Amino acid sequence: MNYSNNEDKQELITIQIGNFSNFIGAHFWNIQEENYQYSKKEQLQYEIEPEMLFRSNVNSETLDKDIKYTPRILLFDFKSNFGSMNGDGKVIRQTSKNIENNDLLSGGDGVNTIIKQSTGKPIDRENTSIDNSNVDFEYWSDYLNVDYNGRGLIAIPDSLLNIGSQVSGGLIYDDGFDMFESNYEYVADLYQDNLRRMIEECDNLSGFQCLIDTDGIWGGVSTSVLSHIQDEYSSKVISTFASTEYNTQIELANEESIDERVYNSSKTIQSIAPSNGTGLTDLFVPLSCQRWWSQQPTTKGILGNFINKTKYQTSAEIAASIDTATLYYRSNYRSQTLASFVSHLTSSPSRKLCVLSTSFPNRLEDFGFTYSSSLYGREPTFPKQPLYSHPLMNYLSPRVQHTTTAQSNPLTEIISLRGIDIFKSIDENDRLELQNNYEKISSLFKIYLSNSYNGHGRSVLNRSIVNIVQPLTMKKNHFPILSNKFKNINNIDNNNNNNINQEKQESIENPNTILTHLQNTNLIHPFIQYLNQGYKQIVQSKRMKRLTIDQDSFVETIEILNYLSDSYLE
Amino acid sequence: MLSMIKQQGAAADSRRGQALLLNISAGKGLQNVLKTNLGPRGTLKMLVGGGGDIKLTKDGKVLLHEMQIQHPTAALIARTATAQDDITGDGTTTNVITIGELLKQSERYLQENIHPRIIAEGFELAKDRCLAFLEEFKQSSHDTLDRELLISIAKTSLRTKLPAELADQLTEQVVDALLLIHKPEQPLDLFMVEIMTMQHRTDGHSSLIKGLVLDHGTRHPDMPKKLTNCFILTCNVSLEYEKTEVNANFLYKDHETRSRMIDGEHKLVAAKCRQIIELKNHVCDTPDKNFVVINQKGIDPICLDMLAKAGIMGLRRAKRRNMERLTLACGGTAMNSLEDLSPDCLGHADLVYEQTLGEEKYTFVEGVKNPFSCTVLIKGPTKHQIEQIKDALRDGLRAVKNTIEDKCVVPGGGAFQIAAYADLMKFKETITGRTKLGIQAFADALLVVPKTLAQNSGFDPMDTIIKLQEEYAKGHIVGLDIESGEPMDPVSEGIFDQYSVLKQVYRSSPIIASQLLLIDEIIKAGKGMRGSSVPEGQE
Repeated sequence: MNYSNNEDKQELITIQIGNFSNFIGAHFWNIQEENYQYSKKEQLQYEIEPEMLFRSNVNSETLDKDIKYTPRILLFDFKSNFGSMNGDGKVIRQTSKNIENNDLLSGGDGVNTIIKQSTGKPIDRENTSIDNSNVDFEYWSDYLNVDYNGRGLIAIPDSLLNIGSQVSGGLIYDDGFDMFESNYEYVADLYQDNLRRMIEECDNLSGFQCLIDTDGIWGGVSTSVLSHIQDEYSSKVISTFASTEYNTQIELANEESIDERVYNSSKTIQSIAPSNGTGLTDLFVPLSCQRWWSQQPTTKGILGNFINKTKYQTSAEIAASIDTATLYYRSNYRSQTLASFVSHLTSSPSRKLCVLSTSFPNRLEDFGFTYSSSLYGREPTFPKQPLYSHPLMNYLSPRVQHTTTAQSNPLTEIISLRGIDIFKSIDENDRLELQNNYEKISSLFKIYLSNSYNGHGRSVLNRSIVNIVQPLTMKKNHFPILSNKFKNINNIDNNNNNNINQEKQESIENPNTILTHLQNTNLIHPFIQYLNQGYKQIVQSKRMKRLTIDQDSFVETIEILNYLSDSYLE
Repeated sequence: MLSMIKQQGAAADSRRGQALLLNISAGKGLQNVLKTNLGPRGTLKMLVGGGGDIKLTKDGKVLLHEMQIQHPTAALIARTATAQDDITGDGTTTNVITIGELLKQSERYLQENIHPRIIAEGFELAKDRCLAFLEEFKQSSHDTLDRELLISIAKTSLRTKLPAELADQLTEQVVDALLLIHKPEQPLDLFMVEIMTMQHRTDGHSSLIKGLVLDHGTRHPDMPKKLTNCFILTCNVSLEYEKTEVNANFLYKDHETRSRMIDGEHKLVAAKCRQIIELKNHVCDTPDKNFVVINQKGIDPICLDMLAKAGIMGLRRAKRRNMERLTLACGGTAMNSLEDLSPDCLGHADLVYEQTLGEEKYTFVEGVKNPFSCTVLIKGPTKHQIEQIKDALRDGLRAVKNTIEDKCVVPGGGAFQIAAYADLMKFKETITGRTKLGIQAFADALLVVPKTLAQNSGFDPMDTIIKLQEEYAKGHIVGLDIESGEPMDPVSEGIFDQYSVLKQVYRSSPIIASQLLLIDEIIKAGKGMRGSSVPEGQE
């Protein structure tokens, strides 16, 4: 091993807590797996550095053996959610024969459901001709295309959750937190040593990127896990993407479910990302794949193409967005670390919450950009709206609206762009130029941004534009089709609807360009305020029957949320 | 079966019968699953996970943890039994089959229209008498620190979980490990016995190491792999270049300034490293002395390089618990800062060496001064075998610990159950009224342990029980010899049960059994998952 040259090499550990986050994670790793391309820029081997996220089984004695890369990952889920992945991180692909055998594995007189394990239906990795883009999967391991490292898989036994399945309503934050804290010895045994060994391997660990669930017990579990990490590895940076899954009850405006989500989100944000500098994470990005904050949720979700709002679909869209949004520290062109990513976005410790919006520009003429050769040389034209209120930008963070007020400029922002097909109608020479000159696109964006932000409040403190040439290309058998729904919302008329129907009949090509926008902005203020009010109402009206909150912790939560929302006012 | 819960509109009386029936059959069902695993001659269960993971076990606790139990009553029983394991580390299977048997015995009387309350009262009386008898029956004359006795205890416990040869070999290691860490007048800290696993060679190579095995190795190719006569520095000091604050940015004009600033940061870390090297040069005055640094925090490549050049073996990210064990074993103190570094802080070990097994590295620290901490190294050819040994080992350690702390033993092989039965029969005569029946049921249920032992060993349960009872009537303490099916003397054979386990079993199982008996209806509570206001089944 060469020790002299990798001073800037950083390692990251990815932490995935919760079932939906594992769905996102599985897509994320599939994207990583399929997108290692050699860079077109000289000297650098890859556009994205693989060793940052992956570990190899190489050590100095076994150099000649087969090298196998597995993600450097710590993953939490219930044991029954692992599907057909075994303890070593490999997915067992079944033949029809052993599916039959499975039914035989039950016994015990009268209690015949005692011994029965659920298994998934993993896709056939090799058969790329199957189009799985419209189906849903029960387990994330079903469509996972990489092998995980067994050491990082933390299977929480289902029996650990000391609550019968018959409780009224869903599980809440406190259930998860209590589950981890009351079984601390056992749980610590499950993951802490494995995490330590993973970190022991790293020469230059720069931090943790976490995907966590807000729903159900997982917010509480995350709090427990992150506080251990904070405690033990205090100098490392933690960035967190917290997501909520698509829930049909919420779509039907079931009040109880919405209450639970409001409660869980409030508790998670309050304990993981308070604004007083004591939080468990350095950056917190809330994500959601449906609208649940208005009294009457619209039938249109934020995510999912028009028909599918499956876990498989929504998690893919989030995963693709996270993948692009994190290029800032993962791309090979800029020697940036997770730490600088976080400090770029969060100018002060009281503003840890950031907002992510994304776009999968299929036909980018709609976007308003053109770049074409004309008689007078190249004349780019730009969209009129600023990026944060561009209708094609799809906010993944809850309750953020496309508004342009005097104060809506973000404080800090990172714009990431993957692929160059953003300009569809350009000639071959221009395309080549864009491919070879990375600065070209970022300078175009710079002009666009500084023009369009004028007159909307103060200027942006930190801005960074990251772009790589490599498009997002995924095989159809394990990636759904991403699409940009907002072109639909904009002009809802019959004409347009017909178009969509036609489009559905033709096979929709997956867009391979992704544009994401991470910003630290006041636009998040309404969300926190909504949580604040919702939480207050839920507790005071005692709508959630299972909830017992003492006055102190209630006041504390309200205070933290108030303080948080205040810091996004100025 | 579960559909009964939802059934509506039946007459109250028949519903009571149904609820009872449901509970009793659940208890019996769980009993039937675990029954065959009891005792050294019990058979194994194979658990197949969704991903094709295989686990072989006869340990009741492992089984109950890994099985997916959906039946609510069965889950309730399983939880009681696993709680038993949390407290005593053994006796899960006994607990489950006793609960099952208590329910089964009561069923007979229930069919004759005896009210469950009467049986429950009988249980209560019988339980108190049984526990009182246990106090009488236990033998506290033995010296519980006697190695021979402890070996018998460990053997009894391990043989019920593992094949005999394997169990016998582990037995000595378990006892030696505990005797090593035992300090008079102090509770035993089982954390001081580290269990390490290696997937390697065949089983039968497990060994007790009077020192420590760390699950990581050096991270620099030039570092020494084997050192003798070593000074050991245990510390919790970061030897990594890190930015002090997340939000403190470097402000730099060009790349040169930036790298100069980073160098400045590096210098601080390098200074710490040099301090260690100076200490090494100070204490290692002759070439046969060596130096090992074991750090709880990280060591970055630059520092590793410096240490390697100085001939120091450096290990990073040691387990927190191992830091405690290291100072206990080798002496010295764990350093939290390098300011007051002195030769007094150092520990000593005769031999430190690294072993690589495929992807894994292990570092052995052996020949320590006062081994108040030790490691049992399990080697096995397959993962499931290692797991099996590991589970058994944990139970063995608990068994020996229980005995040392109980300061008494109970003759095993079903001897207690036979004797308690006879005692309860005498007690029954002194009671008047129908409560007798509850006591009778309890006494009969006690016999399930020797019965199952006999059955699992291939003998006729009734025959054996009668033989044992006849022998007991002659005034001997008798247990079942699983080899011959004949009565034997458990004390001379060295078969002992643990007092605290029996106490826990016969305290908790009658309680849960009588609670289950007193249930007259099972009602679905709550509004159902997902907050749907429409009850399931009406959809």
